[in-house]
Amino acid sequence: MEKAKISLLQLYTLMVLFGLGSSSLLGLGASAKQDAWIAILIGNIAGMVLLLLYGYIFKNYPDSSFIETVELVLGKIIGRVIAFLYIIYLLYKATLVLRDIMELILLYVLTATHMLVVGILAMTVVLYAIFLGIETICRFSQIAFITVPMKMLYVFGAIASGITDFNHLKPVLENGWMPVLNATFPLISSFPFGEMVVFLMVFPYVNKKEKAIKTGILAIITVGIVLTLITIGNIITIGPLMIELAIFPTIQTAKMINIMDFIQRIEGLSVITFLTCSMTKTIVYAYAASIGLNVFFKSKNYRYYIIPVFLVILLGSIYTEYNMTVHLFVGLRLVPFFVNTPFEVIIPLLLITVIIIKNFFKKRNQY
Amino acid sequence: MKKVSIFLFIIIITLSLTGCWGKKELDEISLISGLAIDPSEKGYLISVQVMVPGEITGETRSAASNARMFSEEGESIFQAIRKLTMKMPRKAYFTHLMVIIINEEVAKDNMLEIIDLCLRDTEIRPDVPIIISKDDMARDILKSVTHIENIPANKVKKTGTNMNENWTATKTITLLNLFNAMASDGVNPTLIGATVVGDEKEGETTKNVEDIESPAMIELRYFSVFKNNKLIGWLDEDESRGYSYLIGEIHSSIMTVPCDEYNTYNLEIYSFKTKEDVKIKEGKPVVYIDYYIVTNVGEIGCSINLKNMDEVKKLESIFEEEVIENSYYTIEQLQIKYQSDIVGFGEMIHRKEPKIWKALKEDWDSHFENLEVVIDAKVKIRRPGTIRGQIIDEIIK
Amino acid sequence: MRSFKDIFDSIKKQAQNNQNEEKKLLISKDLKKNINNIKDYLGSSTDLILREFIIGEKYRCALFIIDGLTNGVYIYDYLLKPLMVDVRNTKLSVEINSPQDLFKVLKDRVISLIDIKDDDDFYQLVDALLTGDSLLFVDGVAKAFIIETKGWQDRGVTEASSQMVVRGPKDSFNETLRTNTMLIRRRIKDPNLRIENKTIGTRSRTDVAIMYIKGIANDKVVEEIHERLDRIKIDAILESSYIEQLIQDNRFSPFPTISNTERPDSAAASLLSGFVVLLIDGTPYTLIVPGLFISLFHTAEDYYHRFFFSTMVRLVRSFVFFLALLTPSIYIAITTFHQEMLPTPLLISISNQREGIPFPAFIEALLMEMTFEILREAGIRMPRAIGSAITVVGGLVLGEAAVQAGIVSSVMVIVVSLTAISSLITPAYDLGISVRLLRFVFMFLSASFGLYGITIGLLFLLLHLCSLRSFGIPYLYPLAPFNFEAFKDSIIRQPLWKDWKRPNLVSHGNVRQKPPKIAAPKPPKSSKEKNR
Repeated sequence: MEKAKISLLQLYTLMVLFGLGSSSLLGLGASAKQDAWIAILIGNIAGMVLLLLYGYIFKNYPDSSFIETVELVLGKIIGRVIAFLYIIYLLYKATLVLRDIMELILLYVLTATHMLVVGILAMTVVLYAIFLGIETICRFSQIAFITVPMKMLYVFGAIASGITDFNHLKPVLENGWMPVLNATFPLISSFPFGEMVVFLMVFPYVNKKEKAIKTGILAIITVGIVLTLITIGNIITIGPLMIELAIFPTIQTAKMINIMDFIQRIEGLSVITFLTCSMTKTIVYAYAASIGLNVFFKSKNYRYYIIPVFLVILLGSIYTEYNMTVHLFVGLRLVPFFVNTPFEVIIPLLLITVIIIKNFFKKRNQY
Repeated sequence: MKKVSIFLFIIIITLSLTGCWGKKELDEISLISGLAIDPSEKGYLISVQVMVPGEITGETRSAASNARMFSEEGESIFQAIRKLTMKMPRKAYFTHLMVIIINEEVAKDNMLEIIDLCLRDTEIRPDVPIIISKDDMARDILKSVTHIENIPANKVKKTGTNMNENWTATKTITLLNLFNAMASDGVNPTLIGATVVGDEKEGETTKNVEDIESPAMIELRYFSVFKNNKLIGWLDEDESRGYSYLIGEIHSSIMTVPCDEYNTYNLEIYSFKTKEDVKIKEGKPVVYIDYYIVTNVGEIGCSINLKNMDEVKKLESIFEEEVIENSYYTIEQLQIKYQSDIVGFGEMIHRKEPKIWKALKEDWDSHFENLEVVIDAKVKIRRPGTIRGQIIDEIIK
Repeated sequence: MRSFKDIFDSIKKQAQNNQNEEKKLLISKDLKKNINNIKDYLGSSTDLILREFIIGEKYRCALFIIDGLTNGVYIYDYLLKPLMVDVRNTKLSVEINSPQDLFKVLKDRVISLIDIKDDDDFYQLVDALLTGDSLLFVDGVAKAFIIETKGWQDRGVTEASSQMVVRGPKDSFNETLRTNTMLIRRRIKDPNLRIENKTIGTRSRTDVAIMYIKGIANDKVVEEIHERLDRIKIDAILESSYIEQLIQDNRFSPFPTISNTERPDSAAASLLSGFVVLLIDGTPYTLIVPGLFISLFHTAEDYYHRFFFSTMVRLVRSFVFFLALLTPSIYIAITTFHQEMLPTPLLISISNQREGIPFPAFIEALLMEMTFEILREAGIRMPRAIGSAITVVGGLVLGEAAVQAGIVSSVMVIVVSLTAISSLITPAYDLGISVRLLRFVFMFLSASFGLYGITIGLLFLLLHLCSLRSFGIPYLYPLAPFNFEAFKDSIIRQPLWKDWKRPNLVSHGNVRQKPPKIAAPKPPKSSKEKNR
């Protein structure tokens, strides 16, 4: 752990940027067709419930980072194994986000460049950010927060271009609730909302700890609203069918914007605004991973782990997945079930159960 | 700190040296403004129109044409385009493509390949208008040079937009619109047809620009009808008009009704709103369409007293009848002649009554034939232009 | 070969010697000895003037001054005249029996100058002499007077030369510390305004004044400044920039973390907001600590115009900062990587101009930017009479001719002139320099990676700016950490009547104005109402 203090506002901006990273780019809930936005709203509520769960863990161990908490709660052997698995989970998640960034850049910005080059450049920024520490990252997030309203501008831009058709949103709930719920669980509830589990590594830095969870809820609501707006914007501009097909539907929407033949062809700019959020997400994951390693090995300075984390994320993002098809399949189909659900729901629930039992015995011993 | 900064610096420097891969200087690319797809013996004949910047904006503009054409044959479209690229001195660059023109014969045969290629490509934008060449080769339309616009492809595009805004019978359909129509169950796509009017051979030369009255002009008039993603026919002028009413795509165009043998009443449409509703009658869906049209008086060919409220009402009802009749006629034609729902009644039912739609979805085309549509119209004349009274009456008197 | 360590050691030894010298050395009773000591110590410098005289036939005295540093009127009218002429004609009520008596009488009754003190330390005396004071020795007394007679030629208070305003006070600091403190004191008559002096530089013995308003300025910052100033071990301070470079937080940052001004009104405004001002003798540029990034975009004039206008101007400045930083790199990125971003007519037009240009866009841009830098440097260094002519003629002729010859495109000339003008618009000259430097980095990045490179560069820049601190205050305050009260006077400017609070991190969060109802001035009560 670093010696650092962050304010609630900084936590809020960091969480919002984290939540919007890469999730705002991909067509979330595309399988629910025109009801994708409902799926996101439901996912939003599920996300709040999850955050309350994490909040319970945090309340009981407000001064130790999550990796320590796991060790403290589950004991030396099981605790250390699960803690290590969490570090791997953080690194793996970082590789997925980095892969999204690379695919985005290779598709829309630098079509002829090697993936490695794009990855190294992105990771140098991440490396520099981790090196500077959480306080700087949080201040960075405050400035980068300006990209959030900019994302909404794309929706208004699309409406101003006169290319939107609100009929795309109809009929609401065509096939009942099932497809919507299928889209929500586990994909949307875990991505981006359940991923907030990583903030258990950040909460200990907050200066007003009792309000951290409230701020988190507020951030999740913001993320939900922005994501809903973006999704609605996508649906009314390019239609639910195209969203299901496109790799990055939001960029496809940005491509369609044309206001008076003057503001047009802005997808390059939109890539940049979306890149900032995804970058923040990678930074948070990589930072959490290096802090986690530091706590795990009980070393003095987390900065020892920057270079290893850098290499693992970079190479992992390139070599774990064979191509874009695999990436999307893994990212949107496998990961929610086999990675997100255990790490974001099952293990935290396990922890809570153990904590409750422990507290129960503690209380009994007191009397 | 120092070590890290040196490390970062070295990384960035080395990467920069390996960079520049995607680099393409402006004088190494050819901007393609138009793409025409024609059938050929080998498969497809692809023609692209390349803009020549020097002739468009340069200080030393010669009489030479503003654009060049390159053509190539191939078994698939992609293959032909690749072959073409090898032929051209510079790299073809499709991001500024303004129009895709598809030959009628190709459209009758297979449209899916074209849609797939264009949407998959990162350079072609989804808002490119698509046009079908009626009676002519697609490349001939691309070739015709016309007044005012420097680039022929731009001419085609602008004509489309202009007619869309000021004349009823056209609607620019983009790649994305086409895809959405094709992928949806409840609507069949339609595209605009373009023809060269006048002497085609003259149209190809720069003489076309030099003369005051150009011998060849591009005309975008008729809507095509698709069924099962294949072109099956064309709407005539009346049908096209009725179609435009039905889809509500009319902005500041005019409506004309004959009042006697030679003369007409003309109204200028100020706003045109369509309200759709679907109701279930005896287990069958009935589509209700209400027009609400606000107009200004454009030209009055016969004697009518616009100071009198009853006369105005009468004029309004004449137009109401005309619109309703025209719409019914179009629907009838679509149901009997083409059996293709290009208006999107299916989509309307889908949106309003998703449960009923599930049963109809599978065989919509045959259900469409028996669909009942009820049309109502309300025309409102807002103001009679700058003249209050009746000019013709004053003169005749 | 001498290793660095040896050199370092010798320097260390020297420093120790210097410290030894600073130990106290008492002067002797013997006047002759003292005179010789001073003469030996200062060498036979020609500006050292010694005047020996006798008071009351008995007591030998000696007066030392440094010519040019002293005020002649003081010396003749208030020092030499009373001592040599008036003494004879005056009847003193006190008996003078010994040199000690005389010494006391001189101080109490004869010398009619305000600042006079006695000292027996040789080095203190010499220091005082070299700063412009006069030394008066009396034979038989092991003490000497230090009489304040400073007075030298200075430039006078003239109009500011680099930070000009249309509306606002026209005076500016000059090279004399005392004048500068006077200029501030005249504006702030607050008893809490503190001036603390320090002498820095083993050889230059430069006076540095730390000014702040007690109760408003952050005590920790003041303490930190004292500490850092004490840490300086350098032989000479010739400009405030020396101090700036020696005490700033991040020495490798291209951005100035301490801002400066030559305007007394902005210095006063900074003091009132809780900043600390460092005045350095010998330069009109004063330092303002802590330096915030946002204050580089502020001018004194922002507060002298109405807030609508000031807000607009500030927004323009922030926008232009990016313009100055990024225009050439964006041009390179768009024309070599992302042609799809341009509307068709514009692309055709640019493409037509690029036709036949022998260089890639990057080289073209680099060439033109370098040319501009050369012209600019030449324009500054040239004798003033021809400097501006060279800039204009060189720029116009070179640009025009290069375009005509087809070596560069005319769009490139537009781009370069736009950046050139933009980089001059930022009020702080330091910022302009960093922007010029970074512009080349961004051009390099965009030539390699296009828009992606620019984004990466911007993220790096932002992270770097976020990591900077100036005397403990985050550099990007009030943007990050965000503070709404302070934000209202950052890239926008709130109306003056709403300006209730000072920036909370910098100052003690005091209230600048009471927030009462003065906010919206009410119309005067009309006479009718009164009569009622």
